[in-house]
Amino acid sequence: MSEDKEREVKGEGVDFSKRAFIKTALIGGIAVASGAVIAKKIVSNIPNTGLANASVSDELQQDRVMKDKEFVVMSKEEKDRMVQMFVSGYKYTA
Amino acid sequence: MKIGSIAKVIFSAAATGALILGVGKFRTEAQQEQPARPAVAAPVTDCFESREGYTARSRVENVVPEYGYPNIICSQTTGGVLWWGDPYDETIPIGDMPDIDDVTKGDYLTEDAVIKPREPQLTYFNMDPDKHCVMCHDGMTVPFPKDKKPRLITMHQDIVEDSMELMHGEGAIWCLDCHNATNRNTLIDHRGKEISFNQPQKLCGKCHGVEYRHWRMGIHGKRIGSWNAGGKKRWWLCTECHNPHTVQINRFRPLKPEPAPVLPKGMKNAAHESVHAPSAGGHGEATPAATH
Amino acid sequence: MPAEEKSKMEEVKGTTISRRQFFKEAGAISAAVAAAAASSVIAPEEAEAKTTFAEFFQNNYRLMTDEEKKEAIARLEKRYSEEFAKKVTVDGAPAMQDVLFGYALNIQKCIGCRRCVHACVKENNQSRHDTEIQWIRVLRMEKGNFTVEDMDKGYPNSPNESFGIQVGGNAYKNAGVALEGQHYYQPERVPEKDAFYFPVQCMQCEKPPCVKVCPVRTTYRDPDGIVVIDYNWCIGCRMCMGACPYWARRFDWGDPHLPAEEMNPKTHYLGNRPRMRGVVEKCTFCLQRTRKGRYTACVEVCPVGARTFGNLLDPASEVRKILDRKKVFRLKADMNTYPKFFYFID
Repeated sequence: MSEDKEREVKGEGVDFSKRAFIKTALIGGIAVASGAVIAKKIVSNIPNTGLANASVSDELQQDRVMKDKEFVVMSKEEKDRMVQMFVSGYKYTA
Repeated sequence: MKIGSIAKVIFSAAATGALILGVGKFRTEAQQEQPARPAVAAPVTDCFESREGYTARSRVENVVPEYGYPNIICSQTTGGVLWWGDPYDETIPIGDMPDIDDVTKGDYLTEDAVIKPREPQLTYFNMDPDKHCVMCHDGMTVPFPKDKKPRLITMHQDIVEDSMELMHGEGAIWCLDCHNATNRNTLIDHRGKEISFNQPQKLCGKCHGVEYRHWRMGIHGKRIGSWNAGGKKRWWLCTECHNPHTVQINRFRPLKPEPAPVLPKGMKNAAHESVHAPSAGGHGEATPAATH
Repeated sequence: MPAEEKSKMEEVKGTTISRRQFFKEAGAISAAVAAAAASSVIAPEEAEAKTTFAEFFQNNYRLMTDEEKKEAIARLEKRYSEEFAKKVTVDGAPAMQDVLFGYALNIQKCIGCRRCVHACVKENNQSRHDTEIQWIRVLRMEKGNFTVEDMDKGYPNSPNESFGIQVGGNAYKNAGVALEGQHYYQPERVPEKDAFYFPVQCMQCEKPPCVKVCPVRTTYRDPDGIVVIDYNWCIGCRMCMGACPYWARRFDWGDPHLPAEEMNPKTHYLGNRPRMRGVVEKCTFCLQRTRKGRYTACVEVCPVGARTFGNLLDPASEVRKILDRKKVFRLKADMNTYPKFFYFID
């Protein structure tokens, strides 16, 4: 085992280049992959909390907006004027 | 030596494998965060239109082949019709009606106004294919009533549970003011004119003139089909929304509502809304009119 | 996980392979793992992945030539048909001439059954869950002084028969009924004695503030008065949502969930075609129906006939008759947006 290691450090051994490549590839692969997994985990967790908050906020917003509204009767004149505006303002543009 | 290096490589490979599995697990988890689609339940095929226990409908597939539409879609929870694929399914022309004084003359063209006929839906009516109600109400089996005096009925309690409690016209209207005493296949108006069960509007309109006019104009009642004035529409008839026997208790008989919206993730309950209930007092109530 | 990767993984688990082969595989796997993991961070989500490049680079619908529109529609029809495993049609029907759509709802009749809400979801292919999207919301309000009986005799306002609503015009002083209530009500039966119900949806304003604020002009008013959205061009900035006085627009925070068997295959490019994540959507008065002459899904499903719909330019239309004859309300707002959705009482 230790002999093996020594040879490795010294750069001895028949299949040095192959082994080194595999090692590098494996370790590098693991490093990149785990890094990516962690990054993905972080990234996907942030919008999830955000999503919940955002939906809640959307939900509450309509309450808030409607609370400021008031329901009022339109007078005959108001209605007629409005209809007139719709009719005269109509323009067909393809 | 060789064993050692192989062990090392195997270790690395195992680590890689674990990582792959880990990623796999993570990915599965990620998918589970987006909850799996709830299995779509088999569609409910029987439901009612407007009045529970009145106009019963059955879903028929592919009534509109162009889009693969069924005639109707029923609610999964309340037993009500929830969507119309074919608005004219099971309809016939409304029949003759006199013009009314309106820009559209009552918005009425015989062939373009259709209804769902009532007669085919009446249980007792269809017990005898030829004689209909007269099978029993022939003056012999069941004698014709001598007067309109209120009395308990022994039959038809599925329609009117307690005839002594019947309330229409604040007690002034009785069964035989609308049902024809000598020909139970028909209704009858106050002038003695026979009216088909398919055309109750001709009877109701005799007293409820404003509603009738507005119904003819299209601003009372329900219509489905095409929106343009004079286009083909199915008209709902008076009794398809109102129960004439109990209309004074409920204009519309209360229904089970469709489910409330699902609270968004992160909202535990709808308590934010209840603060506006009157019990909380003050601000939440409708602006009191008395203050101005 | 891609099938290729999986099969390789299974091979790794096997014991019969040679050392050399094993090394080769292991190296390839770690590289593949790295690539897969890295790509999962930036990978487009499923729905977006299905979007073709052509779709991605297409122009704003309003600015497309007829030929481009046809192509865009054909692309979508193909994609949706594959995705939902049935024949999906995408219509591009323009507004009809001499038609301006208007809507009227009898607030006195509405029983709060929410059938309209669910008919709309079915017709317009909204996301069914996570997040559930509904274009109509029904607000339940305590009757208080605002009773049906009072409404019947309440116009014009007088001390004896007032019900909290002041006559319109400019006399806006302590007037109107504030619209506060609950959306999540769930009684056994509706209507409840002490409540009335107020459905809210896009009012297709004649002067729509949402259109004014859209930085990419993906939402615009068509000649028939419908405010439409080209979902492909929408950047999801949500400016229009903030501008809407009724908060009638909805945002797809996540990928919409629409079961294939419930998908309505009759769609319109500017209407009920399936949406993607990150776009804004709203009621279009069912333009895939109404531009073909049919009533909206909500009008047809209302069990009490509280909803009417028609052409505001036609005096014989149901909406115009209601405007002529009934007591019509409007929501008092800071700005005059002229909604074409009216609330009325008998």
